[in-house]
Amino acid sequence: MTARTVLVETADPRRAAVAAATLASLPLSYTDGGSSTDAGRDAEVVVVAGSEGWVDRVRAAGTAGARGVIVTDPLPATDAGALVAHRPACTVVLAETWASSPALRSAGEQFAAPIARTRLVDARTLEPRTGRELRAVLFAELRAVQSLGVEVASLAIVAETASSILGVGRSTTGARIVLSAAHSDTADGSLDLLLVAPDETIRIELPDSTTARPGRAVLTSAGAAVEVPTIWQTAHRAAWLTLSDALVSGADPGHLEAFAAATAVLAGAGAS
Amino acid sequence: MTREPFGVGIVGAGPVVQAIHLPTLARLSERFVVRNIMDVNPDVAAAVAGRAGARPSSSIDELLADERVEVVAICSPSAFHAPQVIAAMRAGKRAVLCEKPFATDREQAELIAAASRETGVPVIVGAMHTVDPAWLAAIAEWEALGHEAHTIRSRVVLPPNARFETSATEVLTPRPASGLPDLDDPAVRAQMVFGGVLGLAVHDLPLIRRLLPAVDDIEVVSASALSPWGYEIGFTAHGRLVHAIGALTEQWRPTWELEVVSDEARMLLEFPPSYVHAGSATATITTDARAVRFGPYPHNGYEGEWLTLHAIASAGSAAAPPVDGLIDDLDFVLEVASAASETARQEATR
Ligand SMILES: NC(=O)c1ccc[n+]([C@@H]2O[C@H](COP(=O)([O-])OP(=O)(O)OC[C@H]3O[C@@H](n4cnc5c(N)ncnc54)[C@H](O)[C@@H]3O)[C@@H](O)[C@H]2O)c1
Repeated sequence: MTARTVLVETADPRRAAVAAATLASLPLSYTDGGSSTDAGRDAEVVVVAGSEGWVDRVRAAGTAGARGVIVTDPLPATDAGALVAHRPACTVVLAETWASSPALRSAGEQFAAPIARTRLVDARTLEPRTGRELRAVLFAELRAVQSLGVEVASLAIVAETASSILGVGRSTTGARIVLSAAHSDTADGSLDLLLVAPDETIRIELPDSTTARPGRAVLTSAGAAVEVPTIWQTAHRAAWLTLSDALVSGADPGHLEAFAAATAVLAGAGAS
Repeated sequence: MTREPFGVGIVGAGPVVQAIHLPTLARLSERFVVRNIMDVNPDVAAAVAGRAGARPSSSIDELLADERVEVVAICSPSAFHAPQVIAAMRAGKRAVLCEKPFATDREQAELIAAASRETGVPVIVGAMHTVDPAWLAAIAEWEALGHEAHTIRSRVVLPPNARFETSATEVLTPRPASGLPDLDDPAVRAQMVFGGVLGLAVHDLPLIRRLLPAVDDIEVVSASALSPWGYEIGFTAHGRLVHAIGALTEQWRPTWELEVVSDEARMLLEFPPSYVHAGSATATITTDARAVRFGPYPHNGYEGEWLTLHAIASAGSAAAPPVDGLIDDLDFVLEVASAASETARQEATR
């Protein structure tokens, strides 16, 4: 295997540091092609910072000839749908706090049938007071729920207090969706997901995306509990592997479509 | 123990008495001795009284006339609670323990309060979480540190009750199997959410009330009935957010959590399931740098109820919690229940 050359955007130091750490963990798949604030040049893969304006920068990287683009921690972007309507000529992978978690992916694959039977999905988290806006946190929860294989049809933000937010909605199969987040200095970046079906529950705990501490996913039924094997890999590294697989297979992972769908659901959730 | 054990009379001898109260009283034999057990079903009264070495009765008057009965536990279906509590007070018993909810509406609760004031007989409600030692220890610490909850989230997901009842005792009267409710029917949804609050959320709402600055401006922002049985409820009070989920499932794992969040701290209470004698909850208070854990302590909230009853029966009504607090708790429960059930009635289910 030849390593693909990677260019990491440096505009946002925090995201650039995450990308550098991830790059160092995949030396056979990727090689450092230098870094630049001006995306493009000759790199096969461009790592775009998911801060404000990332949609334009993804397009620019595609235009400049990149074969693949990784977006590090993309913020909710109302123009994400434009990337679906007019696709850039490259494969785009989103590296997201929880949606890219390898534990979430294995849970989605191994527990697909019980997930489909779920009548309630409850996602809860805490965010440091100095952290993201709670609407952005809610969006990340929504993306995680989607990544698990639950298609969210509607969502309404029903409460937004000084310190917390609550969104409720329905999946396409009629399951109740509950997303909640609150600000607290005790936040550790983890996401707590509970799915309840008549005969089963699934509990998933995902760490923040920069740690290789494994997420946990446990399916409990009447007679047993099954836990997916732990994977000691960051969500970012998992996303980068998704891109290298996609570049080999030619199959698009569909992240942009899902992200745009989540954006549309949240846009319909109503401003307070 | 300086005094003789109090004689106990029990009204209603269903699964709660068989699985909860008789095993609890057996652990407190220095303080209590069961003297009389009444049930409208004489066979049940005889069989359950036989287990406890008590006399069976077929009417409450008969039980109250038994002079060896000093304290009374009302464990009949909820609709009978208020008149039976009042009858026990009028009979001049020392104290009354009433299973939750202690009345089904405010008028009945007021009647109990009036009877308690008039007769001087104290009453406590069988809300085991309010006297769980881990909760009591943790809330004292939480309040001493000055934390103010801005977000409270409850999750109760339980296997069938029988799983625990049959671990706590050999149940004489198994519960009838319930059918699958039709959630397309708005009245069924409303009833399920109302019943869910009065049956399950009722255990934690007094704790939640204590954590809120006041509950005079409750606004229910979301409520839904869950299939096959459960509720999902969100409400705000004084700018704080409360969210609660309760569900009965066929899976085996009991989850009973209450999470309390402030700017600088988080308290997580993990309760054992009902019926079993598995000690108290555990409570963990996390602040920036460390986590402090309370419990599990050896005794649970059921023992806490009876120990409280013993204390007030010994010391007199001055030692009893003010009955107004019980009415306020019930008011709060009923308000959440009715607002949430109305919302659930109107919800779009697709
Ligand atoms: N604290 C807890 O964990 C907990 C759990 C479940 C129920 N409860 C409460 O405990 C109470 C009893 O619950 P249960 O599940 O045993 O109820 P149940 O309805 O299954 O049994 C009640 C018993 O009372 C008898 N009864 C009916 N009408 C009566 C009357 N007028 N006078 C005397 N007895 C009468 C019935 O024959 C039955 O044996 C209820 O109020 C319920 O809300 C508490």
